[in-house]
Amino acid sequence: MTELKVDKHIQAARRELRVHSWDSPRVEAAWRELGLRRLGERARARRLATMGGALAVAALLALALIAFRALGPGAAPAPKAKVEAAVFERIALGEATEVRFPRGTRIDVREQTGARVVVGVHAGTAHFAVRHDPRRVFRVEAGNVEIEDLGTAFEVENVGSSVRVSVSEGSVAVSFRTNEGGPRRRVTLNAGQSGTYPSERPSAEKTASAVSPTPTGAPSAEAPSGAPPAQPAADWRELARAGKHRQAYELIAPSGFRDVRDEPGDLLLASDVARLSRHPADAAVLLRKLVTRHERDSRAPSAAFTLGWVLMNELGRPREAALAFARAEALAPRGNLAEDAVARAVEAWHRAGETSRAKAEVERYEKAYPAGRHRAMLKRLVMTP
Amino acid sequence: MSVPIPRDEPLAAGVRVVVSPRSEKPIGIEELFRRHSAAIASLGLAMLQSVEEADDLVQDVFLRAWRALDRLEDPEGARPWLMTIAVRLARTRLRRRKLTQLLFRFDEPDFERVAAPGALPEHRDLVKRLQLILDKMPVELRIAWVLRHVQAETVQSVAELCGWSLSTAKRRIQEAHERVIKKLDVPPRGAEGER
Repeated sequence: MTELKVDKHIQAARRELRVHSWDSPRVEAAWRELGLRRLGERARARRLATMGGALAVAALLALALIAFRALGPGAAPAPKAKVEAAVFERIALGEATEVRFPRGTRIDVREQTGARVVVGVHAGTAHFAVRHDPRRVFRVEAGNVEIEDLGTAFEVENVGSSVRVSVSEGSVAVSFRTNEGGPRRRVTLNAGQSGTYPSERPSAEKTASAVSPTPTGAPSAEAPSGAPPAQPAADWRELARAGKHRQAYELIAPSGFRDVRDEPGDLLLASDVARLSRHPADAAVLLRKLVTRHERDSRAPSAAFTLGWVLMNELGRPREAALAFARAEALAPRGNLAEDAVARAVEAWHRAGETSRAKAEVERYEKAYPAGRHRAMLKRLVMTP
Repeated sequence: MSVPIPRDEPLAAGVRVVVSPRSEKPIGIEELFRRHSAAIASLGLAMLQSVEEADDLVQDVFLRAWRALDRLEDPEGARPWLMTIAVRLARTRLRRRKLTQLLFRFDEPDFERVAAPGALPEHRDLVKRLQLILDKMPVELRIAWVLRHVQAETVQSVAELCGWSLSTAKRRIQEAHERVIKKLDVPPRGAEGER
């Protein structure tokens, strides 16, 4: 064969090489994935920084303890039963009942008996997953707000002057005072609802926003009537579109997202605001609301997918994430995100320690997408112990 | 981010923009992605012979670009900048793949899938043989050959993208091409028997 003939062969081979079908849906999907990866990268960087800080503090404490033991006459005093949290710490509080919280959250278990469990949230955010037991009272106290479970998963954020409660499953009863020394009010929050309640010594100027009990979503039967309406959140949408998510969040969060209309576009924008201003729990509530109330909307599958992503990577709740990814697939089984949703569900089950479910999902993936782009990654994943 | 966001809304907080000194028009990562991701995907497929790896490469390239967007002074230089990142990352992937194959003797790419779906059987075989030759070649030679003969980059451009001198680029392209010609000249296994 002459060199010329070989050159012709090379040209022929070049013409027959597969061309990457980088069409519009693919660009959109890749762009979304890039955004998610970037967010995940930032979250990882934050976690690493946090862990670095925690290690440095731990090292200093260890040095201080050694110095104290070497110099001091007696043993160190027993630490108070208050927990300074690390990255997603977890405390088990009985069967299928636990509290998870990121570093910086200060909580303590005030009482734990067969009839009663009381947990205090002093500052920060804590996520509770509680199996309801009618023989036992499960109560969370945050400032002067009390939250009692009625069989649920919920989150409590204590920022000092107010306490925010977001319910992702089941329902809770929230009890609070609107003014010091006044009578206690009680509202029920159901799945998808959240509310901000006054805590210690509310100031007069905050009364209009933070002090007003403002649950989002459908009003509960026990919700107080005649609660003052929230101030109109002036331009939160404009701020959000300008990328000022923190400012937009500050406008809508104190009123419990009451200014967010119950329609997919607004819910999506508000969830972006919450997510990008680092309030993933609120983002999860908003996304869940979109998925459950507007499941026929074309944006519901991608909202479910994002919900899964937030739950898995931002909130450390892989089991719920797996269900969200499954929902994303179910809502649009032939959609652009379906394949990615199955793959992410595998990852979520794997992270949740559900190896057999992860393997079953991999098999399903291989059947549905024999030439799928995640095949190698998924196989590696389930082979990893 | 998986939520479909209207084009007038930001993708994420803190997206940096670069202002062209000529046009004074800011360019963001999204615009860069939409303009150049196809070129990077194509380069990735040519280099790595795997659609999945090409997709991953696109993600890696733009993640790096996102982090370092403020280093891009002129948007006109975005394409070569992104291509340079892509070549570097592809080089790392190819080296890792070679090492894995050497150590574990698995994870060989499926060369059948590198041919276009509608290619004739004899052309598929040709593509497969070419890819096998490239796969056995040292990584630097392979990159040089693919950039020059598949991506049709100029020699000057190959040198710039790979960070080589012009003479090194010429030498590597030539050496790679000689290897391809020599090995492609050998008839495929079983071909004599068919005659």
